Amino acid sequence: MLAASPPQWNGRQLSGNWDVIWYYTALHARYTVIAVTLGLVLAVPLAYVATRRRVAYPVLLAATNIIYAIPALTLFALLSPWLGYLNDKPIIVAMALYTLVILVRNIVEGIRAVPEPVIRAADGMGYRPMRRFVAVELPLALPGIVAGLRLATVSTVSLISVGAVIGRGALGKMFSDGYQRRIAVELWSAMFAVIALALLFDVVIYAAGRLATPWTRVRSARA
Amino acid sequence: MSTILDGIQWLTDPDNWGGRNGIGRAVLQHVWYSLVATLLAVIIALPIGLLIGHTGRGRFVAVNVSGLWRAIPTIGVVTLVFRWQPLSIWPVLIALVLLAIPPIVLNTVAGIDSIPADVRDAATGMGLTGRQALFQVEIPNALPLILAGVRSAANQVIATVSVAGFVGLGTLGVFIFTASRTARGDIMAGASIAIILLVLLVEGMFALLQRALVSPGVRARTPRRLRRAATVPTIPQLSEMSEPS
Repeated sequence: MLAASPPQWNGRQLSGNWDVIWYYTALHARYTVIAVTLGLVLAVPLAYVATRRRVAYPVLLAATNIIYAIPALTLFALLSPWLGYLNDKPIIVAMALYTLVILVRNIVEGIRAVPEPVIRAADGMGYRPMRRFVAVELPLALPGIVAGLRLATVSTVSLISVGAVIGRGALGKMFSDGYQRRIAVELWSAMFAVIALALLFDVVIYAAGRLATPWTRVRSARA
Repeated sequence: MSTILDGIQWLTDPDNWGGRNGIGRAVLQHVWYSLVATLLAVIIALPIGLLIGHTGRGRFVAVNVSGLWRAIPTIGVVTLVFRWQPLSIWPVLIALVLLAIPPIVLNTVAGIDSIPADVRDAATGMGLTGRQALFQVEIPNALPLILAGVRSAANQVIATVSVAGFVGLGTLGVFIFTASRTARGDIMAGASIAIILLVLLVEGMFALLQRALVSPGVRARTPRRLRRAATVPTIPQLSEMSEPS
C-alpha cells in the first residue's frame, strides 16, 4: 500500500525511533478511518432497507451477528486467499465488516426512535421517502449513530493490531517486530500508541457529535 | 469457495489430527486454556459486578474504565507479559482474563440494574437483609444478563486464545500463524472453520445452561431485548458489548 519501505526500529532505546512510532501510528489511523468509513458507507443503505422493509431487519441483524461471531484473526485468515497474503486489505475489510453489526443496529434503532409526528410533518411538507430519510431521519438519529461510531472506532483501533499474529496490522507490526527482536521499548511504545489513538478518536468523534447535535443539549442533559 | 472446500478437506483428513502437531492436540489446548481463562475471569469479575450492582456505587467508574479497557490490544499484553515469563502459558492467560473481565462486570451490573424497583422494594418489605436480598432476589433475577456476560466473555476468549499460537504455545492459532507465512489457504480456512465451530459450540452450551439455571418465572419476564443484551447491543446497552478478538 505504501511505496517507501517502512522504517525499522534501531537499537533498544526510544530515542531516534520516533519516526517508527509516528509512521505506524499514522498508518494505523489511516486504516481505522478507511475501515470505519467503509463500514458506514455500507451501513447507511442497509439501514435504509431495514427501515423500509420489515423482513429485512432481522435478517440483517442475524447476518451481521454471524460475522461478528467470527474471531478477528479467523476473519483475516478467511479473507486472505481472496484479498492477498502480503497486504493489509483483509484486515481493513474485516474491520469494516465488524463495524456493521454496531452501525446498522444503531442507525435503525435511532431512526425508529424518531417521533411519529416528525415523520408525519415531513410527509406533510412533501418530502419523498428518500429525502425524508436523508434530511430528517438520519440527522435525528445522529446521537445513536455517534455512540455506535465511537464504539466501532475504538474496537477497530484495538483490533487492527491483532494482525500482528500474521505479521501485519500497522502498529501490530511493532508488536510482532518487538516480540521477535526482543525490544521491550518497542512493545510499550506500540501499546501506548494504540491506546492513545483509540482515546483520540473517541474524543474527536464525541466532540464532532456534540457539535452536530446541538438540540440534544437543549432537550436534556443526557448528551 | 474452493478455499473453504480445501479447508474442510484439510480439517476432515484424519492424518492431520494425530501427533504432537495435530489438530486434536490443538483443539484440546484451545478448549483447556479458554476454560481456565474464563473461569478465572468469572472468579474475579463476578464479585466486582455484584458489589457495584448491589451497592450502586462505582458504576460511573466501571463503565468508563471498561471503555478504556476495550482499547487495550490483547496482542500487546501477550507480547509484553511474555517478555518476563517466556515459554509459559501465563502471558496468554493473563491477557485473556483481562479481556474477559469487562463484559462480565458490566453485564452483572446491568443485570441487577434491570430488576424492577418493585421487586427490590418487595424484598426489603419482606424484611430481607442486604445479603439475603442479593442472593435470593438480585442474583436469580439478574442471572439471564450475568450469563449473557459470561457467554460473551467466553466467546471472546475462545476467539482470542489463538494468539497463543503466536508465542509458540499451541492452540488452533498455530495453524493460522504458520499458514499465513506459507500462504496455505486450505490450512487457514480449515483452522478458521474449526474455531468458528468451537464458538458455535460454546453458544449452544450457554443456551442450555441458561435453560437449566434461570428460574422459569424470570425467563418469562425478561424481555428478549435484555436477554440478548451482550451479543446484540441496543443503544443504551452499548457499553456492555464486547468486541470480537
